[in-house]
Amino acid sequence: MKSARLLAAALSLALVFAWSQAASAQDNQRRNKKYVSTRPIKVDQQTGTLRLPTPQETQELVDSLIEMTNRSTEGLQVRTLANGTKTVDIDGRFQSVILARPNDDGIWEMKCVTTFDEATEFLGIVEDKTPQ
Amino acid sequence: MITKTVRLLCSALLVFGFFTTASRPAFAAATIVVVNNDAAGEGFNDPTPAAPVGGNTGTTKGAQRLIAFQRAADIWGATLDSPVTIIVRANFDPLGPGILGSAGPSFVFSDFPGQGVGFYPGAEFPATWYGGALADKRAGVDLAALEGAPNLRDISARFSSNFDFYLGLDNNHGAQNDLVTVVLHELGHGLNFATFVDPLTGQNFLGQTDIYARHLVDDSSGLHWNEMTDAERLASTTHFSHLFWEGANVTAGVPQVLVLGNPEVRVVAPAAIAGLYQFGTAAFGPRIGNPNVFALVVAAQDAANAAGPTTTDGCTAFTNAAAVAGKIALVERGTCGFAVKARNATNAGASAVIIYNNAANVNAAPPGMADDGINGVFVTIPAASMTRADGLAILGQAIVSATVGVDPTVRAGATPTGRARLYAPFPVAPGSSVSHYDTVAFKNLLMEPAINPDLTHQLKAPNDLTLELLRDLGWFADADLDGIADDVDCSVHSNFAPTIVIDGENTGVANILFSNGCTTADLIAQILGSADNHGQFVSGVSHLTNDLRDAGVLSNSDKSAIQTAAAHAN
Repeated sequence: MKSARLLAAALSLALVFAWSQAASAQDNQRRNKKYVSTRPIKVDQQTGTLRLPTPQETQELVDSLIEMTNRSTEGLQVRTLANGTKTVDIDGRFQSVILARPNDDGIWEMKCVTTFDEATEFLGIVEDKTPQ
Repeated sequence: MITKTVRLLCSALLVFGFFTTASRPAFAAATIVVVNNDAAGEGFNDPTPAAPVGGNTGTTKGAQRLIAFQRAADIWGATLDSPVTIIVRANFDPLGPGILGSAGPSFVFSDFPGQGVGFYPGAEFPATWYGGALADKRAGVDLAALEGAPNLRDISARFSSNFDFYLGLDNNHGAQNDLVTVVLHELGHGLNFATFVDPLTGQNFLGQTDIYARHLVDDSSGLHWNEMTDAERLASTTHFSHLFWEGANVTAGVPQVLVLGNPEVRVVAPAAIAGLYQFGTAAFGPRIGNPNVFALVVAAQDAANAAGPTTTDGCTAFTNAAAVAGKIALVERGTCGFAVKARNATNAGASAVIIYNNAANVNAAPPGMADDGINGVFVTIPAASMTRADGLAILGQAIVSATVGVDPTVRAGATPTGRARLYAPFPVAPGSSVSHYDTVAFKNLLMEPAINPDLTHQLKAPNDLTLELLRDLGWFADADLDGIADDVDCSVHSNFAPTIVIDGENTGVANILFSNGCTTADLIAQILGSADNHGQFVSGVSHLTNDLRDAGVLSNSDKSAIQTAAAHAN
């Protein structure tokens, strides 16, 4: 009975580890991809008009979104307090992210997302599949 | 009569535990402290001069940001009850274009105890994650401080310093985006209006369910999310119109908030494809249901030309206008704008138009259809969007009849049984993390994925359903912060004076809080309130104190001191 419980605990730990590794690998894959912006969501500081983000701005945007939509448990530790309470410091992960894009009527439409794919779909960021 | 009442009360009280009241807080609500995490000269400390706006009297941009942020925190603070200060660590930074901000809990807790029988109840379920602020409230203590380190943050929040928010406090934001509303929404997530389940895998957070997920039910299986496998949860994440919230407070609030008339696209026949279909709405033309349309669905045909390379894209005048007239036109997405297609459908005499995704969007959810500022004004029929798979399913049938309208018996954003729906479109779309109400909810709700411009700063029925959901999670109402929910509290506004005072005479006897929510002082006040004369009052107090003495709560000298003060009272 005891060995079965130990085995179950070990298996669940292994699953958590495998999942967190997968999430981390997914983030790395995204960082290694090239993206392009298809929606004019950047207000040009000089002209005050909307334009497409530059490739560099798009890459910075993608990096920010990867960080803000991080739902990986990699490195997170469950601590057990003296009274039996379990706790995890998740600071900076599992965030809800508010985005905005301009509509044709000039009003910025806002949407709350939690995943990278939701964010890029809303902001019109797509993978650049042109030969590099 | 009074004697009997008091004895019954006492015997009930003594079943439970009791505490002295010396350390009880004398105020209600929750205190939410915003910790300015910005460096000098930026964010909350931006010295750029600013004119007062909408009741915000800050004189710099940074000060106005902080005042608006604190206003949102204060609205939440006045709405919730917690004995533990909630700390929001916040800052404003230059974020990328289109990113307005983010927020979430900083810690999660599970298996935390309460304060004893009847008082702060602790976790409702074992092995269930709670956000830090909610866990502290139910534990009655700052859990993070139990290891000696004071809590530095319950919620972390970051907002954009390069986005032009409306910083007024009056919600009179016009075409701008209201910071108070955005912060209210994000703090809602930080206060546990969110699941920690991964929406892309269906896996629980570190092997345990969470308190939000326990309230999610898929009506096709009847299972709660904590009862599902990962695969079942993943499927439920995108189970459009089938995911709802199970909780007494939200369900009670639904009739007060959501209007009758649920918008829907429903195929009526043939039976093989009949049913409700996921749809997106248009920013142009009349709302769905104005009017209700029940008609045959006819695929529109137009010329393949420079305006649109296929005969199904509806980018030019329909060549089968006679067949489309009076029917629901089915048009393929692509090449030209949604409003162009809908305008052409209007011109052909269609009674409604459905635009299904093209091959380039084969796996996309039905989009919200924006106006182009030119053609939308000419659209006089309801328009809906649809997934490509659904569009092709309709095209695959010889004759299809459908409704594009509202079901007058169902509330907008609720199930036919009156439960609030969560947003679960297929495939995963912006805001589809199930940590939001459905987008078809109306009135518009604060915790929909879209921050709609008509939102108020109200959090509860009859204006909103956010507080009701938090109540279902375990944010119980507790006006006197004694750790006992108001709906079972013997005295919602207890007298927590450290000693018992009767008509100005301090007995010096410690005032006890019993686990049904009454203090000894409350009980004496209740006797006073029901006594017809001084004699009845003295008699009632005598019986109460005798019973408490017999139960070991009071000593003989305590009993005598209280009885003497009661006898002296006028």
